[in-house]
Amino acid sequence: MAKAFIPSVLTANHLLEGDAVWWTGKEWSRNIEKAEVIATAEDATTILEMASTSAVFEAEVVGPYLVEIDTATIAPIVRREAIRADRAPTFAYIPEHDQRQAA
Amino acid sequence: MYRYDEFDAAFVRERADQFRDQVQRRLTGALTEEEFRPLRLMNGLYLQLHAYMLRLAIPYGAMRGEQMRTLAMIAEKYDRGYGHFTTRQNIQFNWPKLKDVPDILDDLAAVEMHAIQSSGNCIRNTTSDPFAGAAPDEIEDPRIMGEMIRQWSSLHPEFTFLGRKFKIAVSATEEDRAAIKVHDIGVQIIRNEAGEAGYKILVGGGLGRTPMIGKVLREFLPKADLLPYLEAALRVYNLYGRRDNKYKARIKILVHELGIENYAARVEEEFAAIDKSPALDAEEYVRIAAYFTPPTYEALADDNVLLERMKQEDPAFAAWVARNVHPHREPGYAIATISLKPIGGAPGDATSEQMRLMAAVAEAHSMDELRVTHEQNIVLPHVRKDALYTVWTKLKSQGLDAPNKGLVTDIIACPGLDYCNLATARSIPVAQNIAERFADPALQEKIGPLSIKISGCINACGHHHIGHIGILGLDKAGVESYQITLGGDSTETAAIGERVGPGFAYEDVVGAIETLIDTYLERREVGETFLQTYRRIGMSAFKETLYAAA
Repeated sequence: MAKAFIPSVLTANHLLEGDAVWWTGKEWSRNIEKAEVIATAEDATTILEMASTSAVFEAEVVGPYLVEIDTATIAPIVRREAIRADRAPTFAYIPEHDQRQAA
Repeated sequence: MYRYDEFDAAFVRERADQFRDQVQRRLTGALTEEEFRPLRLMNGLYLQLHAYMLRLAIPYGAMRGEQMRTLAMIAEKYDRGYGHFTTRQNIQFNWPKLKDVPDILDDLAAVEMHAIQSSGNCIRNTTSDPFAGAAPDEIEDPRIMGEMIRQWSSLHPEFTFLGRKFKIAVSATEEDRAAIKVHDIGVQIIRNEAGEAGYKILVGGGLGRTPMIGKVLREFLPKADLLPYLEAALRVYNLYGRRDNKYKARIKILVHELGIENYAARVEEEFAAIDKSPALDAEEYVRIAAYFTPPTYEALADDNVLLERMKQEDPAFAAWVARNVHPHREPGYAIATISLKPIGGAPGDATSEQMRLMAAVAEAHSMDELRVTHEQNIVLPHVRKDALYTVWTKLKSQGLDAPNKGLVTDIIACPGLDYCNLATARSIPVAQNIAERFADPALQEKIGPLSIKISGCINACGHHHIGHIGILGLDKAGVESYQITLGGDSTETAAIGERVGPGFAYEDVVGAIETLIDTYLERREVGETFLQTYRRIGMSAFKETLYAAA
């Protein structure tokens, strides 16, 4: 029996900046909470094909793929994607004295 | 140090210009991502979890102050104010933007640096002993050979599209400070019975998902034959190495599948027939060697009154000297290791401020030389003993004074799941947690030499296989699980660690390490290190206590 489709969002890395972005349905956002939820396998196939072949997408982003999410929170289910959605390492990666200077 | 001649300088500038053009064509759509990706990888530019990652090559780990200062500028101007020194003596920046990379490469070219061949299926950075040129036990400076290999391997037309990456390490001492036994090719400078210097060639070492210790390919190779011999070895690999399976494409697999005798026979046959013109003639050797002429030392007594007095007056300084300062071939001088493993820090990371300080200290107190080590620390190779206290005081001002070289908190860790696309688990926070548990300097001294190495995936960039305690982070059904290995060794008595048993959850790793260390402390004989105790009593004692406690 085929695995049930888990609602997902489309993500990629921004071509110029390199950071993680998520597709809102109209544009790419740096906030996963604004991502368009893709609810069916058919929609997923459509969006993925478009993302992989569209020159417009290719001009903006690199390596689009789908990320399964918890629809209640729009948070990724997998740890790797959750870390990526937080847009930073899980520890205080900028040394304390630099954080004070930045504040 | 090697300084670029006109050819080198032009080559690196042209390469930077070429990449600028390639980026521009990618942005205009003239190049697809599929076409652009191998080009950016050839210039060390990866795409990771949060951002691009740029890996710069630091040939055999050697830099001068101006270069370190440029790295500091790049970190500040184009990144987030820090860089990460790696287990291959390189540096990685975690947050560059594609649009800035051409400018970064221009800035690097201005100080004779680049990112060429720091990625891709080609010959990567040749690494070496961080004490090169200063060590009392070396036969000759291995950086000369490292530079020969660097020039030979740069854009080598035959070896630019190998089956897989290829890593060479060189050393010149019996004590292996370059981990040559776990490289694709390891080269050790030795003397034969007639007293002539030549090379012992090892092949087929490696870590990753199939760790292996290198085997002797040639017991003694005359110096003049090095480049043609490497050429023969690479050619045989290129011809017969697997390309059907990325995970079976390293030379270690070929050597394992053929057997060392069969592989060696093919290399010798190729070497006999090969065009020897890449051989370095005596004049060229002398030209390259001249760049590594020892600096002009002052005639000093080896015992230094000031050093001894300051050790008496400042116990913290004395602790740092005991751990981080090493004998130098020249009387009155010393080799100093700057630890990039402060308690709670990310192993191998340094801020722009720290880099600038290290540059200034090197310029003032180490003949303007620094070395990156494969253990993610920095070495000042030529420090006057009477300047050590001044050096330490300056390092202390930027938190670079951790007296933990070779101790339990001198942990090697790859970037792991916090940064890396390939990772299956976090590594840096595990390292930080372990370091915090064992932060007490007295406890660290009590434990003694202990190398912990952590990898966030099976690719083993953290060298966990050769840690006395190795930790491998995996993903088991979405949960991080850490396998522990024991008995690894990166030195001349190289060994691959053995797995202890079932893995540990993220929150249990520190406790597991504590149990292992407690077992060692209970069972050790007087003067035994962790590794010595393990080799004497074996795995079962550790396994018993570890899983009894779990």
